[in-house]
Amino acid sequence: MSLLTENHHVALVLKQLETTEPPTDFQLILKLLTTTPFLSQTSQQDIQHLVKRSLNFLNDSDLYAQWCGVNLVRCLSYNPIALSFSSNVLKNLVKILIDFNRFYTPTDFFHDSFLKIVFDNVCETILVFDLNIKDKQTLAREILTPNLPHIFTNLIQLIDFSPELVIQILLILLKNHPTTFRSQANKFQKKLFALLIKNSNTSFHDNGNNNLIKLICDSIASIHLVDQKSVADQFNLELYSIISEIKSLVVLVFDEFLDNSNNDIYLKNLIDSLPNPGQNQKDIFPLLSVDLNDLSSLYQISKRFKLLIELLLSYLNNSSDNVYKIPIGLIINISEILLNISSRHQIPFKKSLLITKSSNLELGYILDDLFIDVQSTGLHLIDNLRNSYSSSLLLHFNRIFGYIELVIPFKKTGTPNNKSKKNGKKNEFKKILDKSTVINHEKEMVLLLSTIKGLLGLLDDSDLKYLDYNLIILKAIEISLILLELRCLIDGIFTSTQDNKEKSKNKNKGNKKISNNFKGIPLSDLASSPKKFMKSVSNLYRIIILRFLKEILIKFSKLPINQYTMIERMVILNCIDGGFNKSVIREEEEEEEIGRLKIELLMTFMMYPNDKERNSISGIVLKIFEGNGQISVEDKEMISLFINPRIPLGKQIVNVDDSEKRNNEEINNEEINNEEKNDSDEEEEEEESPAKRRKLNVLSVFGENESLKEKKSVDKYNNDIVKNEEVKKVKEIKEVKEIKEMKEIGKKIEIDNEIDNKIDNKIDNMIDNMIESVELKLNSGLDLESDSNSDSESDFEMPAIDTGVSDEEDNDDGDE
Amino acid sequence: MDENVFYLGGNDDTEKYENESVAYYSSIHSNSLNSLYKQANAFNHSCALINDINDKDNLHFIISCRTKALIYVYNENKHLPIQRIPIPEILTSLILAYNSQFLIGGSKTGKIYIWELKSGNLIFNQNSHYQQISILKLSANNNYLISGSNDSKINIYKFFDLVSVYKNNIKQNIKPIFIINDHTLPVTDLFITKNSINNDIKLFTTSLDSTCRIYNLIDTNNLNNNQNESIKLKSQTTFVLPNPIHSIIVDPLISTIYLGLNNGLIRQINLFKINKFKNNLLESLINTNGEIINIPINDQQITNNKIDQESNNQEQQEIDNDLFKCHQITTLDDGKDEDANTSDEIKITNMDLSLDSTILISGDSTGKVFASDIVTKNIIKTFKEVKGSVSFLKVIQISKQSFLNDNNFFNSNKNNNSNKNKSKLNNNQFIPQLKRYLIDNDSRNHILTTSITNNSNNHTTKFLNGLNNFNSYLNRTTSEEFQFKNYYTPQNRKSTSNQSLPNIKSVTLNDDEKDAKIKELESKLKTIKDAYGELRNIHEELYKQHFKLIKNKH
Repeated sequence: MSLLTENHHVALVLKQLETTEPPTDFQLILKLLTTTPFLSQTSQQDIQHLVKRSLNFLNDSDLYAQWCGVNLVRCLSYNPIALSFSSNVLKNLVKILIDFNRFYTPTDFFHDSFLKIVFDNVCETILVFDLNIKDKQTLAREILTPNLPHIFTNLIQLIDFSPELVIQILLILLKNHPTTFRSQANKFQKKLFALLIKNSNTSFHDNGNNNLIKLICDSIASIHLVDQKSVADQFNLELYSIISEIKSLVVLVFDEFLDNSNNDIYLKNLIDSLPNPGQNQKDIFPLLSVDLNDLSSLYQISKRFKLLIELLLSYLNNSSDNVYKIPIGLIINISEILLNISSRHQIPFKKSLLITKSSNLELGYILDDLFIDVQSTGLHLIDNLRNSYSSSLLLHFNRIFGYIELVIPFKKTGTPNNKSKKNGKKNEFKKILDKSTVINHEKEMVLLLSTIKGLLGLLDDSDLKYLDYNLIILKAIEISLILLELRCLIDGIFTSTQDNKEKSKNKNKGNKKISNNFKGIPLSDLASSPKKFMKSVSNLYRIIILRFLKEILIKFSKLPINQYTMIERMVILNCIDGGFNKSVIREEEEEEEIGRLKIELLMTFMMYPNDKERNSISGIVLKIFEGNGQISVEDKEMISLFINPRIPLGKQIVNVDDSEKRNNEEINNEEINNEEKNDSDEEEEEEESPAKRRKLNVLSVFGENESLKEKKSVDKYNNDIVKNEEVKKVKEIKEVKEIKEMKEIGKKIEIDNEIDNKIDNKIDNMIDNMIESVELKLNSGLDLESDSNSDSESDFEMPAIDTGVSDEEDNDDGDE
Repeated sequence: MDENVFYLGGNDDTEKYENESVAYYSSIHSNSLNSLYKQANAFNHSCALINDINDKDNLHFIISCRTKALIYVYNENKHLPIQRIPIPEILTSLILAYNSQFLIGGSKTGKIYIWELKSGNLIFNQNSHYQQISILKLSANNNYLISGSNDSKINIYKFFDLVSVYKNNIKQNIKPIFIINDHTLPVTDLFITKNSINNDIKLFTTSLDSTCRIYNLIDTNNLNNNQNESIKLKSQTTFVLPNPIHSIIVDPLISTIYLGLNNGLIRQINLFKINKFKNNLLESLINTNGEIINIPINDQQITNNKIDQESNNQEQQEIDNDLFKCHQITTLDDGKDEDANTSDEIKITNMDLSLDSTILISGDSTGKVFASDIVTKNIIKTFKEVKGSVSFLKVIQISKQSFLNDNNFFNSNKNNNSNKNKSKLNNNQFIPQLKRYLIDNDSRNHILTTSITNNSNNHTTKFLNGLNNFNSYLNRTTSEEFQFKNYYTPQNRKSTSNQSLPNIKSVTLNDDEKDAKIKELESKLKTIKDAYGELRNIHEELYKQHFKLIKNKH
């Protein structure tokens, strides 16, 4: 049956593809082509037929038909039989590429989106063909290899049409066929560099073009693979040329802007450790044209650094099976040098520059800004080494943590010039965080936090010892808390353009000035409700900051309590204010991530409490958790586990029933024992457990009530009955009463037979005692009427003993 | 899923037996022997498996040669070592650290060596003990390196201290942060619980002095601010057995410990006991007050305690329930003629547990390896014997993920690719020559020789995944088809196959130009029309003349 239906399907598909009119249910055909039964049960002839029909589509002059053809061919390429008939298909695909190359310019693509759709599809289909044929020897030889050179040449020329896709495809093809690619490698490289330089002028580090730049860098870093014989040598040559170019740029910066002439030899040695460019080596990038009169041209420096570091990272992270020699020590040196490019710390500006700086404030600020930018590329470098070189970073850990401090912006107290005169050449700065710089360079600061977090992640440690770096850690925590706070935009504007010292004064003045000068309507809002103009850190950064805080909490159990409570406060505030944002809508992934992180942070507080913490945060966490519908049951269960800890879960559950039974039995036994003891040793009673006591108290209550009733009845008897008979009757009454009592007690509470016996025995004893006493009294001839009351009272109180508790008091009374 | 046990022997004899010493890798649950490796002859605890999570069918491991100062590297199902690397002296214990990035060795003279495997640099070399280092262990999170020695001492180092070489200050002699010198005879085995939280890490130590001691590695009381002095750890609980202990294994829940003795017995000690006299409370034997607990293994010791016969039998039964006798019994069966004393010489040298902790695998000094059930104490499987004593034994879990593969083309394609890459990788994964001298402080000399493996989300892999995701491909074609159906006006594409089209790029004209063109064309048309009219007139006239001529003839 199935065969029939499948044949039917083939016929159906073939009929739809008879003319080059686009078929009505194209999606269905595509789906059908890739299902296993269709592929396995269709005859060879039919498949051949199918390939021919789709070729017709491919060759049609209409774009729509062509698009259909490309997709048909793509789906068919997963079929091994169809693949073997497809030598013409690949040729035709290449022909389309040639046509594109010949008749269109990249601008045509923006006018006609359909051209781009077809082009993208053709490129992808060629790659799919390549991937499907790659490992099959004969197929590759017959179909793929003859076409490869054409594919390469045309794709390289067509890079501008759809850069990301084409470069990506070329990169994959290059890695799959390095030897065939060899003849085109130079052209490809030139094209890539041209593209890189063209795009480097736009600020690529921000999200937009970042991907393309990274792709270009990765491709450049992969080109050396074509030289199969000397891959490692070529790699090293290119790597060192990049390093040397970085060096020359560093030297330029130090020569032009920073005065390192008096300073430590250490930095000099570091720079010297980098290799000089080789004699025959060409510069990778054209020379920079930086002009001090054109301040915006200065930013080219940081852009160039970014470009070079990105390229370096591409070489270092380009996963490959070849064995390379990687000078990891040098690369860490580079990052240290980059972090040293700063005017904030040891190295002052050049004196010649300082003169201009005083006259030109802008230059100073731009340079500060520029240097922070350069420093952040150094951080970027370390941060991205973590993936492939974690163990090697461990060796340098102490060093890296030493110099990472350079990025933290400290306030300069007093101008460096005055200080340098007083204290010799060393500039002393008080270590106070420069809040405005932190806020203005949010991006760099977040990068710093994520780098620190990543480095700490290498360690898996929570030991006191690493608080050697406590300055960095404490300042980083401070930075993170500053970033998490709400801030006023106006504040930021003023601090960035005014001198730090006058900041606080001028800020108020400035505000007033503005409001005086422009009594515009928009500003009235600012005056009345400034909170509405507050800005908070973006979600993306917030995630990084929260992750950093979590890492800190885990790694440093001995964090100073001050910082710990500050983090605690911030997190709790965040949790109460923002909730957990577990939105049902999946789109807001960032929001959800933040919600998740908040919960994790609360958990972390409980898991890794601070050593000096006096009050546990668990109460607060519970309070936040309970009744919050946004928190999942699993998380709540987790918290419950904290509060009700249990050890070997399985074992305890198994034993619960048995042990309970045993416990009950034991309690009963102990009760009996206690009662036995009570006779002899009443003082031990005090040691009984409260639970037992309660039980016994209940018993004693019943006992007392009964005994009161009995008392009255017995009194009447006592008055009426004669002495000798009295004794007998008392016995009888006693017995009756015992039975009554026992029945009633027995109804209410289950008591073992043993207890009954004991009670019987006891009562017997007591009755004997009573009889003796009565007899004694009779013998002594005392007045019955007067004494019998008191005696009988004491007698009839005794039955209360049966319960074993009240007798203590009773007996005491009796004794008294 | 299957579980395999990997074990190898160690022969005291000289080189002539080297070729006979074989390591085996065979399944616990079935009879299959996966592979065997020749010339594998190592000291106790001087073999290390290189982490390769992807590929557990092929073992990749390092052993230190017993007779020469060499390290053997095995890989890729090859029976012989693929690499022989010279080292400064013979290593008596060896482990790998930090995802197999560091090789740590302990020598006969009590030195600890640490090499960075990617660069081959010797980054740490220091005298740590007075005698041979018998065992090295690393805590699960690579925090602490613990070395046990024949001089009966145990040193605990912070691994990071040993490894962070590049500092600004001058290197000092690194002291262990904790030391243990409670044992009186050589330390034989160590066990560290695999906790990620440092405060929970427990250390179990065994020694020839017949004691097993339990320590809490990090006690908040232990830490003081003076980091230059090592702190002496105090044991929490000590178990005293009648025989020297050679090996220890603890189940993952830390509820049971198994001690391998020198008389072929394995004593099981349950760390949690139900106290029948106290409401059946679950009591832990591990206390903080340094308790010493006697663990008897036969009735003689019980009679010494002067307990009446009845309870004596009972207790003996209980003890028997906690004894594995497999090694004793089988050797007695083998050699009936031999003295009963021979059983004293069977040392249980290595043990491991299966994933579910129901099977105990144990190897002894005669080279026998058994798998025994933990509840019944019966032998489940007897493995092939190795020459000499079993010097390394490890259970490895393999999951054959056949159920994850579906028949989809896209998936199968992907798998093929990854398989190919994997085998390629292994070929190139070799260890550079290990250096003999300690590296200097110059970071320029820190050069790695390695292939680059970047596990982060690469855009190429992302792209390929997108390419192989058929559903997203279909979605895209749907939207593209939608565009074509709704907004596309049929037009001819330019193609070489269509010869009629001229070889020019698309021409765009202004309105003025168009007008001019139109005028031009109109004028052309007019001239053509005029010419045509003229021609037609001439033709008509000629026709008339022709007609006249014919008429005239007639």
